[in-house]
Amino acid sequence: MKDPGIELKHRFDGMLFSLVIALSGISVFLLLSINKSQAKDYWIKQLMWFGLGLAGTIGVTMVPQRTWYRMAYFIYPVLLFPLLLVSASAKGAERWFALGGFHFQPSEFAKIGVLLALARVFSGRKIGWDNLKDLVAPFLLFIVPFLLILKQPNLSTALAVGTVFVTMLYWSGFGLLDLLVLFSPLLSVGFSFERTLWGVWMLFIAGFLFLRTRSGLLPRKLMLLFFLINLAMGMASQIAWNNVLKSHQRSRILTFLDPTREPGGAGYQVLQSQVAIGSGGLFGKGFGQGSQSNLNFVPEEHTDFIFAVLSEQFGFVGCAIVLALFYAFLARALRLCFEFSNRFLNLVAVGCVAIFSFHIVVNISMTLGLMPVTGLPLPFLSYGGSFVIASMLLVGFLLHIRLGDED
Amino acid sequence: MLYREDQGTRNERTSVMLATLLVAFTVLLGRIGWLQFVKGDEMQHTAELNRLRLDPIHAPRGILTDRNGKPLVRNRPAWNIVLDPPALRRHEADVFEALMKFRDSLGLVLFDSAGLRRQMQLARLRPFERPVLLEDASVEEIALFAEHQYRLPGVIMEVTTRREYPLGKLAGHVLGYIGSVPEDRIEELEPLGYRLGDLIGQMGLEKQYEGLLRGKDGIRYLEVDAHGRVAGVPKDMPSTEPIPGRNIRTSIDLDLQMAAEEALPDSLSGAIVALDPRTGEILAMASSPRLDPNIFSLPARKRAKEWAKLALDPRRPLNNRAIQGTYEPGSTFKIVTSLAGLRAGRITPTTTMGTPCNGGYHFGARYQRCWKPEGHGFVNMTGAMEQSCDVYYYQLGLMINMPIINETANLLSLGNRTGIDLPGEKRGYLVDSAAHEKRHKRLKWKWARGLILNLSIGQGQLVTPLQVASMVGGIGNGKELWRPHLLKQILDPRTGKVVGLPESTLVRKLPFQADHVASLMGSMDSVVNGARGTAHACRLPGIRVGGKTGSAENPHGDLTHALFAGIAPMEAPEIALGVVMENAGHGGSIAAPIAAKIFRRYFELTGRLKPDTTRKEIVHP
Repeated sequence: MKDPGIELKHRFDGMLFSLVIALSGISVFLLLSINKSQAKDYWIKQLMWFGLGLAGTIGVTMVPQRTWYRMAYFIYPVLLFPLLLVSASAKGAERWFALGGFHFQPSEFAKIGVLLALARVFSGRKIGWDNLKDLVAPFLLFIVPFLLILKQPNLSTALAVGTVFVTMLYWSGFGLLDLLVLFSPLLSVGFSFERTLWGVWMLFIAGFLFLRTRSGLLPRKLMLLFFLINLAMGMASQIAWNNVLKSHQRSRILTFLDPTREPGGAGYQVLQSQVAIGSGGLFGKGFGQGSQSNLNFVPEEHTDFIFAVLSEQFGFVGCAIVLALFYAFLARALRLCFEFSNRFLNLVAVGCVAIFSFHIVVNISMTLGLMPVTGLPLPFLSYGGSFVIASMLLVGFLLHIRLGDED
Repeated sequence: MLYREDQGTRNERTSVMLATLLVAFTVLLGRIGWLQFVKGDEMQHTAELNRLRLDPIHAPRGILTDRNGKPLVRNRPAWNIVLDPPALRRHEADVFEALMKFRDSLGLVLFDSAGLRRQMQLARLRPFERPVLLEDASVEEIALFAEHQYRLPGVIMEVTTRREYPLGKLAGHVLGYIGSVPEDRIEELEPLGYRLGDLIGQMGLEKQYEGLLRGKDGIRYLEVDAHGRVAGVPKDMPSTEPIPGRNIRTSIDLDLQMAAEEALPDSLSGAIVALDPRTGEILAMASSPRLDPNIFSLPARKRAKEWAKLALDPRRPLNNRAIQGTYEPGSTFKIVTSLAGLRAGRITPTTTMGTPCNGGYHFGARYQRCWKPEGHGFVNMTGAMEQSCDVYYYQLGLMINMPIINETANLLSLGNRTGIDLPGEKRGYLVDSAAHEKRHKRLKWKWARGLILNLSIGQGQLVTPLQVASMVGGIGNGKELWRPHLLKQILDPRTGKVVGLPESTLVRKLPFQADHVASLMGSMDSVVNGARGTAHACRLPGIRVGGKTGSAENPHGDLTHALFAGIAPMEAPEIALGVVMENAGHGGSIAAPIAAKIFRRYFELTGRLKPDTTRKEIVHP
């Protein structure tokens, strides 16, 4: 069967590129708006990071696709190595790595290594319940960086890596319902804190697993195993919560999930961010007029809370435009999967989309008070060296798919 | 091998992913719309008119009173001038410059630049805390700041309270003091809700009952205008109410405490403990040299100076000698030796020893003197107690040996912490062969029977003044030993109701025979009231006082430590006293008269003695 998008091959994807440029432009524009005095250099520096990132983008496209495929397992350890150094050297609280006076966050680049390696390993196998042995290698490739990043501690970036893994599982053959089976133990942990809810959930999962087995979509042995795991996870988490965790640890977790519990600490950021967003209205207060973000009431306004800056100054319309741009960008990237049949390239594209989507959704949810504050930047908009460069490298891979010499 | 997906599968999967993203983005946009349109006006109001400022609501610390409710510690309102880091950011340079121009009434600069820079750096590092620029600001300073506030964004005045000890040095060691959380302990205290700059009990009852006295600060938001002035309290913002700390009613009797402080001269080091042997309640506890806890509430600079003076004083005024001073008990220990003799069944109150006292005693090659060179002749237990004859006790000690003596001492709270509710109590030291050889292991000193001679007259052991009082109180009670304690009641500051009492205070039932206790009481009575008693200075008209003097030799000076252990009234003891005066002379001439003053005051207060009008009144603030 001939691919309908074949005529688009070997072309520079101007559409994708202009979306990236538009979003980056907005970033510089927002940084310019924050404050006249101190933040002056933020936008210049951000421009510099974009420049460097763009060089990276071009660099990525220069290398033949076949080489990326072949080198995937080699790049993986190279990009993971600094991560290992960081977690070995500092007491765990250090996320930064200094290289010749230049500080960077190894976890941002480790994501790329994981992406390539997982794309390579998944491209060679068909995933299903009947050949679980094939899952061992991908799982190991994923879990090592996941735990290393988690240990930093950088929960959100670790979860971003997790999203890549899950999305690739989906692309390689696991349906949505299969994923539900796979991740039901995690849901069990979540539900176990409300007794009745947990009971209903256990009934549901039992029935669900049974039906999956009945229709031949899940081996009988696995059905039993998953049910037992669900039961054990639910009970263990309750025991851990009540007996193992100390009261201040419990309260820290609760505060993480609901920052308004502690209006002085973590809740402060979210409250101020919501005030900034809410006060924007339909059209916003205008360029440079964001009183909340300008007078520093919103903390971290140039990095993690840049969306609040946007929202306060440009209102609902501004937010809608930026969200539309993001959506267009992601849709355009996914279209590659529609046009090309090479599984490795599909997986790379899907992985990039997974990383970007996770960052976009989680970051914006956080500024809106929908999710815990985790310190995750917003792609293209947030200020920051490592992340801008890493994002631009990912864009490089996306552009490359269309430009390249496929197959 | 590379898989290739067919077009249909890829179509389906991309569509699913796009749909998922669409749902997520719609939710986000919906939330934005909700914040901007539904809550928009409210948010706009908060944002435009006002800025939010986090304002901790200070929870008052509990106060301490004496047993009759007279205040021993209280809080007074005070103003601090502090930095509010979120508002200060980006104005640091301007504020710094403005603050450096501030002058006090004498025309001196109010801040030193290094200190100010340090506080500003602290503000940057810990944005949710409030570094203090000026503690306990004077009215003049407050006026100065209020006037210039428009130039000082991020500098605010905070109402706090300061701890005040209205009676100054009175019972200073017992009450203790509070101070800032030390920086090296902040890690362990943070989970308990302490922040840098918070105050925490550092000594005495303030430390012991920190958990009760400390309240929980509340938190609220204030609306502040562009110049940092408070405009009001916003609605719909989360806030928590402060919970005030508990008040504590102590067992101290303020009047008796004053008598003890008066009786204890500043020129001498020592301690006095008065307790009720029926309950273990401490009625008075004084230690000299004294400590004024108010100095710890002074502004930082003055406080440091006063602190240095205290810490460097060779007389060590920071020590609460009543529980931390350990002294050889001297002849007061003869109470224990006598009781041990009775319990061992080797003596009766009327039997005499084989060798009379003629000024000394031969043991092997060694000649051990009695304190009285002329000797006491043949004396029985009562006589030996009354005149404090050493030779009698040398022989008694040799007769019954150390185990039963130490067992009896242990029963009467010597050699172990009494368990008083004050931090830092010393346990003292009782000697037997094992303890002796362990202590002198390096010198390889071996236990010898000759040591019993010294130990049976209380030379060699170590006790605290509190243990002396507890020991004699135990004899006075005769049946039970109660744990000495200072906490009488825990009160809710809002309702004034009693919400807590001390935990079980019975230490043990005393396994003493009533006739043994009675004959010991008789002997203690004759120490004070007998014709040749060593403590005749302690006699009171119409009240029978009993006790035992002690003059403990020690390596710190030429004069002996003067000790007195006393109880009264002998018919049914209500008060037990332990008095120790360092290097002051003899127990009978120094400690007994001091004890007499306290006994007298006690019976005056309970209406059984007419007040002595010649006593000069000391008016305390």
